[in-house]
Amino acid sequence: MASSVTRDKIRLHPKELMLWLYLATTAMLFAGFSSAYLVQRFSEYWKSFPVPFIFWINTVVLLLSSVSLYWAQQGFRNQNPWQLQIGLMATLSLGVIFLAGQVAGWQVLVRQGLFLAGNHKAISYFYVFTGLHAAHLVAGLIVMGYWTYKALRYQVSSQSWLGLRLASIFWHGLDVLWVYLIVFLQLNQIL
Amino acid sequence: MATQSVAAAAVTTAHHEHEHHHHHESFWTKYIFSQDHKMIAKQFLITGFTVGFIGILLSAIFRLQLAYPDTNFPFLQTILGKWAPEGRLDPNFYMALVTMHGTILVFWLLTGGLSGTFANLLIPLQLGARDMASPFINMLSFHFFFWGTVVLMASFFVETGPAAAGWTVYPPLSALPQGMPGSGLGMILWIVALVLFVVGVLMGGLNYITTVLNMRTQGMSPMRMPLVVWSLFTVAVLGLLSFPPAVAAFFLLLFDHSLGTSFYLSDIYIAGQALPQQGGNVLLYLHLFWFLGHPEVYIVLLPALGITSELISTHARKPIFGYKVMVYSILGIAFVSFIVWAHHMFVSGMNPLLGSIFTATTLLVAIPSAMKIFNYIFTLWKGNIQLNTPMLFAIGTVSFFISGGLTGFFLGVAPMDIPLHNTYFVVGHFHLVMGVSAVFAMFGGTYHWFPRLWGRMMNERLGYLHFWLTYIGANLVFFPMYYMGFGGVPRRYYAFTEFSFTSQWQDLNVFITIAALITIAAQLIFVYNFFHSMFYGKRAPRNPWKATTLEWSAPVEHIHGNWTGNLPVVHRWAYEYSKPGAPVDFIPQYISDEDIARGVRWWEDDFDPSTVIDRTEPGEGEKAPSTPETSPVPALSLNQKPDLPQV
Repeated sequence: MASSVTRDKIRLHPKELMLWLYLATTAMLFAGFSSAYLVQRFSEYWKSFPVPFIFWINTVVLLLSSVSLYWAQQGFRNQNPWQLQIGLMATLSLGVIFLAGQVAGWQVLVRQGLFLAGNHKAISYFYVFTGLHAAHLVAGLIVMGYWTYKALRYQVSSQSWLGLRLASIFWHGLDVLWVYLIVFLQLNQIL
Repeated sequence: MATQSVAAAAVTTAHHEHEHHHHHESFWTKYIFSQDHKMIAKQFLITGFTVGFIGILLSAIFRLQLAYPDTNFPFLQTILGKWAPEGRLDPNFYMALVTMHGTILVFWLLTGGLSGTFANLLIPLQLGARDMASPFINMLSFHFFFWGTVVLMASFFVETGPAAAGWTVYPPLSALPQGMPGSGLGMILWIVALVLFVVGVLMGGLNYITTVLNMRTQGMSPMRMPLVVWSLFTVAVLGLLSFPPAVAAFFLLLFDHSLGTSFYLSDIYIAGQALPQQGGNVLLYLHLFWFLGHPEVYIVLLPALGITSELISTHARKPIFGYKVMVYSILGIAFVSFIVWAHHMFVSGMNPLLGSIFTATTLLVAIPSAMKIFNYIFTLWKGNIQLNTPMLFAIGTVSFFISGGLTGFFLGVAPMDIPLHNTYFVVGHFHLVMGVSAVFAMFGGTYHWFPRLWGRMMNERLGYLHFWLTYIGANLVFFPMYYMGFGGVPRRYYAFTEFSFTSQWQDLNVFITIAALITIAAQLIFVYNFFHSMFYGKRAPRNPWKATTLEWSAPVEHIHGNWTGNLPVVHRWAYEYSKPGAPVDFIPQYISDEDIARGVRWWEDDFDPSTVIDRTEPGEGEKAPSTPETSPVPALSLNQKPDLPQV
């Protein structure tokens, strides 16, 4: 009846739209940091440093967590609780491994005498970028832990589709953010 | 108020028990942890006005200092203690007062208070939605705002005093605790308060955008939305894009301040001591800050102009002139506001070529702004103007927008800005164009929507008195500042006694201070009127201003869900005033042509809009949110409990 009048509404669930808008604010936050980084790159005090290899291992771990999350969602779609449980547990574990890997990476830097404080801007920015990403990832782990707990207790129903979808968008968003950050930081070391 | 609302709620419950589910609300769930957008609007309004009043009282103290730099005021020591020994204001605390005055009024009153109040009140009610897209996040939005307020106010009570580096908190002054007392713990609290505030504003913004895009009632196409909703929507988008980079700037500032980094710091000597920080760049902070700072001007101004559009059209009993032009000019101002920020930095040492580019983009703002002014004037032209308090304040907004905006040309052009930069000319300019004009719209909106919030009218006589005292007072305070600015008097100085080119204006400073004190005192009339009317004001009819928009079709009682029955269906645009051939000079949006033919008498005081609204089919928004096509489980019903097989 009123389809012609209401066609201009966004065909997304309101909560999903809100999540996308939230991701836009996160993108703008890191855009702010990235532009600051680009401005200071050309100062005379700028010194490049090699990104420790462990951060690349972490990148692979985080990418794998996105794959396992996708697989878990496939399980949800096919109403296979076992696949959902394994997939979510794998995602959660890979997330924790990533975070532990980040801490290990920071320790590698500290052992080289590279700290947040001081005049070495490249390394200061590196800590700021990775630290803020880690803070976001902790939030992601809490969400993922919640859904893993629910799945293990068989409390996931078809009503959960929205919550799971939002959790996975957030998680993939953090993944995309990390890939952007590591590529951005690496390109700025090379170029 | 509590007893009345409870009584009102009881009446509603008795009436609508069969069709509406009522929660048993305690004091905490109703007033503190409310998820109802109308209550959240009241929370924002009262918090915003309270903290704004504190901000204005701070200006009374520093105005006294500027007018009488050599006089002791013993009462200052009583209030401020060690910050006013023997009644003489401490210079460090003078800077803190100026900083906190700016922070409170720009961010807390005119961003949080103004948008928070009217977006929460008007977006769901004017679009015909039951509530915001996420009432829970809406509640969190206010609580982040409130705790930001608490942290900011707490900074008055720390040993070294609140932040004192100006409301823009430029490093290096703000980043070095040894630079001045205000850059100690007060600065950290300032950053924490701002981050809490930004989180609150963004949570609100996500809700406003989503509600406008997703929750409009049947028939409410974008081009039927009231202009205030357009402006609040645009402002939410602006905030979403511009606040996060400022948060990035504040984080880096905090690291420089407390963790020993040197993002902004380089080549600094304090008391003959060279600091170790090298290679930082202050310009970086300025760019990041003003990338927020300039859109922020429109985050303040656009809701004010949106409110003005509603008020002028309703009280002139005429459709708004050039509705589409108004919409496009809101979008145009929003777009241009992102490419003008460096006009705040003409003297910062950035590349002069960049200055001329930003001069050109700055002057572009004049085009959409002038279109809006033109449309306001042509809406008033030959209107049946009702000069009541909301209308007076709306015209006041337009008047200050013109007189303050025209001086923007001087400051937007780099060669003119260089001599005028950091003088009282700038102070006069921004106070008129964004401070006073937005405050006037906020007052006008409060007088206009007060009956919608509390079911009672504010006192008109006191409203007139408040308007005229404030209008004349604000002009007397800020116009002389232009002269002082042309005379080269710099802003943020503790006293003007040392140099003849500044001390020659001393009499004018006394004049400004007296005018300011009278204007500030006049705000007590509003405070009295506000609280007195809340309890004892004249009872308002359902639609006291004979307005067309949907908020006046909902019962004023505290009902979660806004309408007791169906949601209204919209049949026309928001400005159907004085339509030729219509029985009266307004047709509400939910009245269809059939209703008119049927002889519905919507203009009578005892008309119940639900008799029209509940006749129609349930609106689109009435149905449960349907599964979008992209749902991963399209085959399953959403309402079945667990349907994963139990293993």
